[in-house]
Amino acid sequence: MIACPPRFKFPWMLLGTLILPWVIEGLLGRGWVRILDFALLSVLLAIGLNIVVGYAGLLDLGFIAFFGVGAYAYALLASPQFGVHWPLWAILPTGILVAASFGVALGWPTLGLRGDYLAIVTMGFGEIIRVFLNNLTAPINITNGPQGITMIDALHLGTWSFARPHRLWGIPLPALVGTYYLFLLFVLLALFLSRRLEYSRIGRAWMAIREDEIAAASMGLDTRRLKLLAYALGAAFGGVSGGLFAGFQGFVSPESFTLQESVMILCMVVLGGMGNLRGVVAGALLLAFLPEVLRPLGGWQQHWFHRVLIDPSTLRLLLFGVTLVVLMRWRPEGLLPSRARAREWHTS
Amino acid sequence: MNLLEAKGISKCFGGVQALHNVSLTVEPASIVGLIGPNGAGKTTFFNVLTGVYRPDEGTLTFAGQPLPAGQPHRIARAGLVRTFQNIRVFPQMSALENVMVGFHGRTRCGLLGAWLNSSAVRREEREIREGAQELLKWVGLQEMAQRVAGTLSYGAQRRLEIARALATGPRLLALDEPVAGMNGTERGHMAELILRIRAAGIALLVIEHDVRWIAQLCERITVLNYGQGLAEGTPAEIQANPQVIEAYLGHPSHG
Repeated sequence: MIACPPRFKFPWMLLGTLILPWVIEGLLGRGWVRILDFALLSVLLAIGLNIVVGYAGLLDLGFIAFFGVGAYAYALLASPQFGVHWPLWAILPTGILVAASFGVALGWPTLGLRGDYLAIVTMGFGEIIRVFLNNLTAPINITNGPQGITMIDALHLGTWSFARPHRLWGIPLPALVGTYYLFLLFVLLALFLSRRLEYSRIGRAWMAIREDEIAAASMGLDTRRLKLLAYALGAAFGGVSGGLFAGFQGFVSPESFTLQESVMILCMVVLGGMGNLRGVVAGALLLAFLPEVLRPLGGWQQHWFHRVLIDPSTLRLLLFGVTLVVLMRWRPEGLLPSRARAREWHTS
Repeated sequence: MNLLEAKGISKCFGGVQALHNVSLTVEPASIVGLIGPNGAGKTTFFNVLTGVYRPDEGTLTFAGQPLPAGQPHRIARAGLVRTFQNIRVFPQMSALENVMVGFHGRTRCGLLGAWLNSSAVRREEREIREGAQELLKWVGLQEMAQRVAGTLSYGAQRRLEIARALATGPRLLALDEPVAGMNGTERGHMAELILRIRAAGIALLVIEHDVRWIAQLCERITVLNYGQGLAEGTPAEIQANPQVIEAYLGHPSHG
């Protein structure tokens, strides 16, 4: 049955994800748990973008803007910037609402656009947000410009701070592992919500719009509303990710929200397999880890050639690019494509 | 009362007058043919009718209500649904999913419903799945339900499009060249399907080139030529009309 959701091998997957940070900490050290935490935020972002690009087929090159909006929402509501310190449970819904409104604000003027044109407009939108973040300093200083906002409250629920280590039933729980579980919770929730949507009437309508918008409208689908819904939902997921990012990092500045980042998230979705959640998660994890894996290139060169031939950061970008090219050349449908995408590439 | 009443429809594209003062009526549960040489404006008329284009002039009334011009989804929900000349099934979705999309306007499940997946939502899904299967059977595609729509044969895709349109619960089904590129047997099957649709109480407006094929089906025919209404009448009247013969075959003195 095509229309029935396939089942995850739930207990094993869950057990694996639960012990993962401990394994990583034991094998690779604490720094990698931190990378893992950031990777989960990328996964959350990619799940959000997948709704827009994968389900509804709307190419969005400015998606990082919603991440930025969510991050600044958190930063402004929980830092000395305005002297307000809201709790997490109040900030996140606010961030979701704000990000979703920005999603609609982007969606509204672009409803009639498709493909290349849509990509250009969304790219411009992403830049507008970043430029605003950079310049909203006068007449009142809202964003604090390029310096960004510092001393953001750490993620906490009541008295439980995720920035401090804890002890649970005598077992020490490092702060980064605790944060991992918090982020994992959000990722699982996002996966659940996204999956339910995919196999619902709404998901089917998005797919129809992606395949043929004119035919979809002619069958009674309110394409404008459905597209706006996709934008708003995708943005909301991005906003949550951004809020968590701000609280985790304790600092936000506009340079975290460049076009480069938008492209990266899009790569995660496309590379993993547009429209298929497993693929999107795999793509996000791969692209979040790859640059980190390639980080010690300088050391390796030193070891093999006894000197550094190519600047490690340049080489890292180069290898990263090569990986993208290779993957897209031999697996254009992505690592784990949705059935529909696989068909698209292999039936014609 | 007429089901559809189009009065004085005009549409320009730049300097090209694609439609000029075209009028047409369809009675409930009747079959009306719309014929004319290539480029006569038949498909443009369909596009105006179903909201793909907005008419520059003229009024469209459907079941006593003005049609919301230029808003395809509202027109479809009002009960005027079409198929396309160059088939537009959703190629990567299964045949069943294609038809299930047709039920969209008649179902309610929203965001919260999808997330909670309540028993009402599950029942609704089950109902449209069964309804879609029923419709596929009705057009003779029950074996193809799980096939990817894009891989179906040409004729099957045409029938799938009709099943999808029927899923919206139309009162008037507009078919744009439903038998183009089909052989005699397939044309016979399509004629039979069209008559069954009419028997179910649904009116049809059919664009077709093949005058003989359309004449055996419909009660009335409207002929378009150069974007204008050339003639209107029963099939027998149309087939005997010298202007129509000239439009199709050319003037005797040029031959």
